[in-house]
Amino acid sequence: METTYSSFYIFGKSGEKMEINVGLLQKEYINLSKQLETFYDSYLNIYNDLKEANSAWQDYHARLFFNSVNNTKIKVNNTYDELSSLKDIYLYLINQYKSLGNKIKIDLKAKDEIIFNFNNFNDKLNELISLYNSLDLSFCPNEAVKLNKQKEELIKIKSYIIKSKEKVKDVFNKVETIENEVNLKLSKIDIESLKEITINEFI
Amino acid sequence: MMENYLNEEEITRIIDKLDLEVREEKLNFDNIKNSLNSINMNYKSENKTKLEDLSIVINNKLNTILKIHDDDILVLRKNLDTYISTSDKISKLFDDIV
Repeated sequence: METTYSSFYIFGKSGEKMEINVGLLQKEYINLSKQLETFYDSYLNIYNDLKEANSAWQDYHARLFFNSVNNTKIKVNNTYDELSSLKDIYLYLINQYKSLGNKIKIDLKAKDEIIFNFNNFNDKLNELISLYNSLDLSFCPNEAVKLNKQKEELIKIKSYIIKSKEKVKDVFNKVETIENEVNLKLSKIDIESLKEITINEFI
Repeated sequence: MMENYLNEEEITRIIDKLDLEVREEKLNFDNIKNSLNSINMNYKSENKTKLEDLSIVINNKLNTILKIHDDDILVLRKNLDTYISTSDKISKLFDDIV
């Protein structure tokens, strides 16, 4: 079962952090979704009115104008699709980061440094445990009990450190995967260009 | 041969409706821009620059759409004015003849 945290911060000495506020992102995503619905309704209303205008005005300039209107209509619809694609990317990253926490600060470049520190600490624990194992406690049974208890504590800490290291590694790997995927998705978004109309052509 | 025709009442009605709709559209676009901005502020990563660049392009496109719709209303208005002015002139000519 995955543990979720309200927030986690992982960074090293370099200090360059990723910062993600999942809660606020979710809030803004909901807002953006509503705004896009309004965009679509607005687009339908405007172009329905322009279609009605086409029935109420017919001449040479009208023909040119409403031809231009139809072309723009397609491009505005495409804009809605472009915004929807961007919105989908936001949803992806919200859903992915939600499982990691609400507020996330992580320095991806510190991964090696942090794993090194874990390994270093683990090595020192191993040294200490070895020292305990090398002691001859046959002549001091009472002290042996205490020392063995201490050794057991160290073994528990070592086990905790190993699990923590794996969790941290998983987090780094997950964040790297998410960011690579977001980068890929963003590369696929192509915003079509749109030119203003030349009014004088239609009057 | 195509008939030249403009229903003044209908075009006036449509212009008024479009005026309101485009004003609402401007508010909507402002909200979209603010939302995109807010999202970008709460997501700081190596992809941030890409997202910000996309937001700029989208903002510019939304501004262009607004301009186009404003200009669509202007085209209708100018043509309406032309037709009204022409029919006024013709009316006067007939009055003079009569």
